Amino acid sequence: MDDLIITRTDHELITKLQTKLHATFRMKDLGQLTYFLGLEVHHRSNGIFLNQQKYIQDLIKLAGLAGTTLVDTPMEVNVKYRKDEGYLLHDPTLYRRLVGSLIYLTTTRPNISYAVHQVSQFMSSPRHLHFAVVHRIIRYLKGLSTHELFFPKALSLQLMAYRDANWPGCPDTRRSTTGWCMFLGDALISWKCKKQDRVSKSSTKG
Amino acid sequence: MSNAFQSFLQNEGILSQHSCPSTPQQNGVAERKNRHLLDVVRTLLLESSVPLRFWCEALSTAIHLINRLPSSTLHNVSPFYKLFGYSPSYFNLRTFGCVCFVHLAPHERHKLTNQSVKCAFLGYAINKKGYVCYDPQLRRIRVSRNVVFFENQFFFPSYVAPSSSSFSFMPQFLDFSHTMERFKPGLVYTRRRLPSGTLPDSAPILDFVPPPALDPVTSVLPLRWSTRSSKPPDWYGFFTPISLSTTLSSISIPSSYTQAMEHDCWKKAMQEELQALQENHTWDIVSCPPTVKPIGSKWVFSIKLRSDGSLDRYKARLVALGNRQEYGIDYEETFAPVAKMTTIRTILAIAASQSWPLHQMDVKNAFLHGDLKEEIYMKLPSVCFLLPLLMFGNFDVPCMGLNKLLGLGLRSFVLLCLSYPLRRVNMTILSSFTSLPPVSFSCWFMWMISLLRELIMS
Repeated sequence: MDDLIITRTDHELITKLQTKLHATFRMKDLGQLTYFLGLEVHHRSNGIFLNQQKYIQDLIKLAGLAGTTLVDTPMEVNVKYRKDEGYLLHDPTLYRRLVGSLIYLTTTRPNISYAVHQVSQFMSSPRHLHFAVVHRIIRYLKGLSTHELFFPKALSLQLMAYRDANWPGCPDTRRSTTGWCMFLGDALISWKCKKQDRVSKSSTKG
Repeated sequence: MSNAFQSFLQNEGILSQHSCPSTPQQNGVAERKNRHLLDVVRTLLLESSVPLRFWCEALSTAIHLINRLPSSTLHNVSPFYKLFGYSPSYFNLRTFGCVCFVHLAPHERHKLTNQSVKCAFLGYAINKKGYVCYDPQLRRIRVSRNVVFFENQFFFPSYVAPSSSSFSFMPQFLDFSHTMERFKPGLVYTRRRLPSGTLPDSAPILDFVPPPALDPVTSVLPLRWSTRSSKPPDWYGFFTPISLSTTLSSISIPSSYTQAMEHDCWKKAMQEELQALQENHTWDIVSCPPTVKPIGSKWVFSIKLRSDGSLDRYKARLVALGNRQEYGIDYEETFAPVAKMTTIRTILAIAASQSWPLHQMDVKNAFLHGDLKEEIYMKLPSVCFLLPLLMFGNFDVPCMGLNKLLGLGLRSFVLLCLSYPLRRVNMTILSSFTSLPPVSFSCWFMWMISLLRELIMS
């Protein structure tokens, strides 16, 4: 952990803090925030945009999918994947690397979080059907690599949260999957897709 | 279709359907199979220069081979395996069209004549356990199991080989004795290469047209691709870091110390690293107590890029080989606090909404600010110093100087707000920035509210 973001109402306070930090640590001022933990930050007149375009490009290269066509959806609809369908992969390392990268990519991509949630359940013994899903997600990302997460200016600081759940979404364990997203004003700041830790006997959302 | 079959269909009330005349497209499976077979047959004939009249033998060899090769449609097992349930033996496979010597039957030889006859290998018998060989003298096929193969030589001369003096079925076996010494029969040898030079002027006049592959105009025409570089649409006029990947691929990152010493940039990076280690008083050089087994170290290299793809700097790190450490003796803590992405997004959202300036800073050698409680002995990087000394000191657990930051009264790793007075350090908020994610939705929501309250309201 050696990167910092500093923000405050005016530059003077920031400079004061920086000198204070310099006294204790050997530090380097990188100026305005542009590239942080693989996130590309673009400052526009109407707000801040967040993107992981380089990360996506590296991922496409790693998966060897540079020459493939694009798809419009991250997953096939109404298909449920099971733990023991398909043939076991001989070498699951690539699968794990790709899914690991996809998990990090959900930092700026709420739209793949359900698909990534699905494939990350098969990390221990991935099969070829699961690998096909991973490839599809990456091909989907390829078409959207220039899309960005937007934090608009002059946003009201009102926290709103939405959630939904399916019942029961996982064919192996009969557990439901919850998804939620939280908005601070118009900016999406938090989302999650998670399998519930117990089996629901009714669809009443709890 | 035979009359008997047609009448059978009629009697059984079966309506038979046919494809349209001259429309092989409607006969997909069979045509596709046919193409596969023809491809293999053509390859066998061309590679070994076997005359075309042996196409029948080539076809049965092709079928023999296809049945024993793994097929992707069968999930990488062979049709043979599907049928019989066990893998076929590949030991009896030979090069199609190679020279072979068939042991003569007792009635064809006596003590003082040839014991074998030179033939061309043409495949595998279907109904016998033996090899099919063509005897050019008798002009007939011999099936035998007592065959010795010379797989490095084709029987029929290739027409591009300058050594072929004439197109005959019985070429002179000039370097026979030489071959006998070099290649012991019964083994698989590497295929001879076609001569790479052009045809000599005194090329023999052959019956067939010269192969088109030698024509310089029509020969190696690569597939034509568009030279336009493709890039994603830039609808909003945003920056697209195309150059990132090119920069990354143009710089080779050394994997070892010796490789790195060949370039000045990496040398400089290593010097900077050593200097920083000394300035931070990371270690003391002492002699190692005999009871302690010191751990090793190695250099790790990497490059740092700016977000526009240009090279920022070369990085070299000296790392201790921590895999030799033992829990409880060399270390107790293994965690490294990391920022939660939700926190970062929240800060960015707030900063954007309030139009606050965002600054980025980078702590050099951040890991050195973590102080070790344990004593760790590390060998000096031997290649670098050539000193058999040992050092003692604070070597790294990658947990940043948490206490130092707290000593400054700063609130977290990611958000440093000066407006907060240096009051008592709120450990709860610190943990809320970095702690494990809450499990359920309601917990998460409460966490979110507390985070926002800490960030804005106070």
